[in-house]
Amino acid sequence: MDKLKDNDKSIIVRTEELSKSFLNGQSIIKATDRINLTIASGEFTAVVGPSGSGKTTLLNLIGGLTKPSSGKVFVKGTDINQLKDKELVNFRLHNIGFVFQLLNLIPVLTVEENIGFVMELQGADKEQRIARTAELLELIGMKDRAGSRPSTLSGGQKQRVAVARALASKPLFILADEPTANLDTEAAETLLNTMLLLNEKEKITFLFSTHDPRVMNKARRLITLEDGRITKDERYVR
Amino acid sequence: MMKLAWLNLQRNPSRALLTILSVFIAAFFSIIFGSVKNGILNSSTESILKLSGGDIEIRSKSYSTSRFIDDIMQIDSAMLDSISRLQYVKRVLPVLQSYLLISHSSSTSTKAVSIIGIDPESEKDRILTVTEMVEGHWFSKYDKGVIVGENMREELGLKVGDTLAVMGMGYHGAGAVGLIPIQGVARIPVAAVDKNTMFMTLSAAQELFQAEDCYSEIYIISERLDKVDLIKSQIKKIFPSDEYEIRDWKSLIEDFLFYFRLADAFGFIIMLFLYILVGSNILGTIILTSKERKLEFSVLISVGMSRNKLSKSLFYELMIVALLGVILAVIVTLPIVYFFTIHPIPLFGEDIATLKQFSIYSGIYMSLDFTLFIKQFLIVIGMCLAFAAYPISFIQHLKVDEGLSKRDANEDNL
Repeated sequence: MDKLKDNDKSIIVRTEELSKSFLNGQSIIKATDRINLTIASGEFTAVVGPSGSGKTTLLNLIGGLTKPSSGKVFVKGTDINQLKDKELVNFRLHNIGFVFQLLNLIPVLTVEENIGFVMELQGADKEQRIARTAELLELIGMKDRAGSRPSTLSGGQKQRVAVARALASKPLFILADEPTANLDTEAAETLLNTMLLLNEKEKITFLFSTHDPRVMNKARRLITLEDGRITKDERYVR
Repeated sequence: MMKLAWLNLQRNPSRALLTILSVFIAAFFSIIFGSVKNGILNSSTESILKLSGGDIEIRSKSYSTSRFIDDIMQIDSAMLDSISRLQYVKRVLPVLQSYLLISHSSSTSTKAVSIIGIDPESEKDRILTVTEMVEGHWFSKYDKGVIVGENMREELGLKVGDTLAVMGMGYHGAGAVGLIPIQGVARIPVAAVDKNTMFMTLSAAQELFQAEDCYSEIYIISERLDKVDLIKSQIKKIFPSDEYEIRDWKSLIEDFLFYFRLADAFGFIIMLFLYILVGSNILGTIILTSKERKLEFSVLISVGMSRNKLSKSLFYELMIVALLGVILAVIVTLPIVYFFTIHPIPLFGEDIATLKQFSIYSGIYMSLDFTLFIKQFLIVIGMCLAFAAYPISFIQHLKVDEGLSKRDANEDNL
C-alpha cells in the first residue's frame, strides 16, 4: 500500500474508505468495499481483476460519474462528491480525461473536431484548438487522418483519437476503462505504446482498468481488485 | 451547438426522417382538417347570408316592432353615401318593404302579399345568385312592373304581361293603389317567400307608397365578415342608437350560429383527438430516440459537456426536425387547400341538387385562411416545444454511470 502523505503534492487522487453498493432485488452487491487508494502524478496504473470485481465502478467513482455509497474521493484535494452536478461536470472537464471501451467519439465530427470538442467546451479559442489538436495528432501518429470521420477509422485508431481527445483539455490524469477490450493484438499494442509514450514523455498520469495480460505487463503499478476490495497493490520498474 | 444538432440529424437520416414524418403527419392533418372545418362553416354562413339581407341591417326601432309603413326611415342620399364611404363596406342596399292586397282577373280571391322594392342594379347579382328567373326578365332601372314567385304564379294563375290590381296603405296616410304589370316570374328558394312575395324596383315602390327617400331597411354588404363589427361601430356614429336598430349577421342568423358553434365544438373535439393521436406519435418517437442515445449522452456528459448544453443541442435537434416537418406540411397542404377552396369536393343526392340549383353550400369546401396555417404551425411547434421537455428531463436525470455501463438496469444505487 502507498504510504504517501496527504500533503504530498504529487498525489492527485486519494480515496477514503470508498464503497459503492447496488441493490439487486433483495440482495446488496458491494461493487467496491472501503477502498483506500492514492494515485500520484505520472503514474501508469492498471486496475485489474476478474469480471465483476469492481474495476469500472472504482474508475467511475474516481471520475465522479458515480456517487459513492460511503467514503470520499479527493482529486487534487477537492472532495468531488461535495461538488454540485454543474460544478462536477466543469471539474471533470478541466481535470479528468476519459477513454471508454465503446463509443468514445462523436460520430458526426471529424477526428480533429472530436479532439477539439473538449477544448471548445472549455472555451478555448480557435487558434489554440487548432494548435493543440495538431500537436496531439502528431503525438498519436494520426496527422494524416485529421479530417476523417470516426466511422472510417479502425478500432485502434478510434481509441488513440479518444486518448488524444482526453488529453486535449490538459487534465490531471486520464481514466481509461478497458481501453483495449475491443482491439486486436496489434491495435492494442499500438494504443498501449502511445499511452506509455505519453506517460513517459509528457508525464501524463493514466489510471486504467483491464483484464488483458498484455496491458498488465506494461503497467508500472498493478492494483488488484477482488469482490470490490484491493487485494494487491504492486509497483514495477519496466 | 446548432452545428452539432444539425450534424446529428444527418448522422441518422432514417431517425430524423421518422421524426420529421411524425411532425409532418401532425401538421398535415391538422391543417387539412382545420381548413375543411372552417371551409364548411364559412360556406354555410355565406349560404345563409345569401338568403338573408346582408351582413348588417339598419331599420328604425319602431318599424322593427310594428312593421308599419309609417315607421320606416326617411334618409337622404347624403346619409346613404356616408355609409358607402365607410371602410370595408362593399355595397349599401336600401330596401322598401311593405304589404299590399293584390287581385287578378283570373282569380276571385284577393291575396295579401309582401312587396319588396329593391335597387335592380345593385341587387341583381345578389338576388339572382339564389333566385332563378324562370320567365320574363330582370328589372332595368325605371321598370314599373313586378317579379312574382313561381308558387304565387301557380296559385293565382298569373302570366307575364298580366296586370295586377294592388291596394294598400302608403306612407303617412297616403294610399298605395295601382295597376302593375307582371314582368317576370322567379324561382325563389324559400317556399314561403316564393308564394307570398313580389319584387319591384325601389323607385317604383317609393312611388307606389308615396314614400320618397324612405326605406324600411338598409342592408350593408361588407368586404370582409371579420370587419363587420368595425363597420357596425362606425354606423352607430351615423345612426343614433335610440332611433335605429343596427343588427349584424351574427344576430340575424343566431339560430344557425348556435349549430355552427356546436359543429365548431365537435370539430374542436375531433381536432383534439387528432392532436393526441399525432402528438403521441411524435412523443413516442422522441422517447425512443432519447433512450437509444443514452450511451452517447453519457459519454458526452462524462467528457465535460454540461447537461444544459447537451439539452440545448437536443432541443435544437428537435426544433429543426419540428420546423422541417411543419414547413413541409405547409408546402404540401397549401396547394391542396387552394385547389379544394376553388373546387369543393362535391356531394351528391336529391337535396344537394336543390341546394346546388341556388348556389347554396353543396360540397365540402376548404378555407384558404393563412391564419389557420399560422395557427396550426404554432400548435404543432408548441406541441414539439412541450415534448422537448422529455429529452431535456431525460438528460437532466440521466445517471451517467448507468448509461455507460452494461450493468443491469434493475439494480438501484445505494
